[in-house]
Amino acid sequence: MSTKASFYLNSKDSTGKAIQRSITDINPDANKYQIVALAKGLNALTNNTYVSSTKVIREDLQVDTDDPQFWIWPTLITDVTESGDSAEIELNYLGDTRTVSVSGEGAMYYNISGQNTKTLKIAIEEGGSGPINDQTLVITLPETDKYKKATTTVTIKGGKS
Amino acid sequence: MPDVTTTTDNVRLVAGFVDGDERTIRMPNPRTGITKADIQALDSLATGVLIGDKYSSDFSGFKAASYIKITKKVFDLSNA
Repeated sequence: MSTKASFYLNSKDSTGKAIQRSITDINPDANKYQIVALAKGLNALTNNTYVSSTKVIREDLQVDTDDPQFWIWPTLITDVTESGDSAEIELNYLGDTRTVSVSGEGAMYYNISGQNTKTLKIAIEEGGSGPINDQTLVITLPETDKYKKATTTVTIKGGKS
Repeated sequence: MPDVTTTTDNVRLVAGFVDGDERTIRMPNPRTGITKADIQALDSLATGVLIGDKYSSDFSGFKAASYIKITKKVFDLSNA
């Protein structure tokens, strides 16, 4: 992730006309006192009247270390409350559908369908009928010749309080 | 509509960075009588705020300043 910061210097001229200057590439960690001091210092070189300054931070998630080949976003469509219910999870990831694997913790059993689509249906059984505990599942996309391995977790809320 | 020509006065500062990079900051409507000391006084204010746009290099000081006039001509491209 890269972070870019800038500030706007707002001023007005002798006729009252608003003037805005953008000063780009500033230190994202610069505090407001530093920014206001510099903005006022620059404005003092002009005939304009200082009005205000605004710091702007822009974060770009799609550069540097974030590689979309590693991304998988799960969305829980239906939750479960009782043993035997099916949770439905929509998976979003780059590229063609792939066969996912599911693992989790605790004593539970899965009956999984839709492993090679982008919508998983997982029936969760936990030792008979009745309410179940929350279940945290680990969903893994295997590595292929085009895409790298991707892993995510999703928690299905059970009916036990 | 005829072509429109406008001229604005500016003060242009050249900011230097530790990696050797530099960039300009232009302020319109400058006051008269700006001195070298006025520019140098900005060095301490810009330190820790301005960074280089290539490698986020630290600011090393303002290296130059000048009054400039910028003339802008907007051409009339409408059909005659």
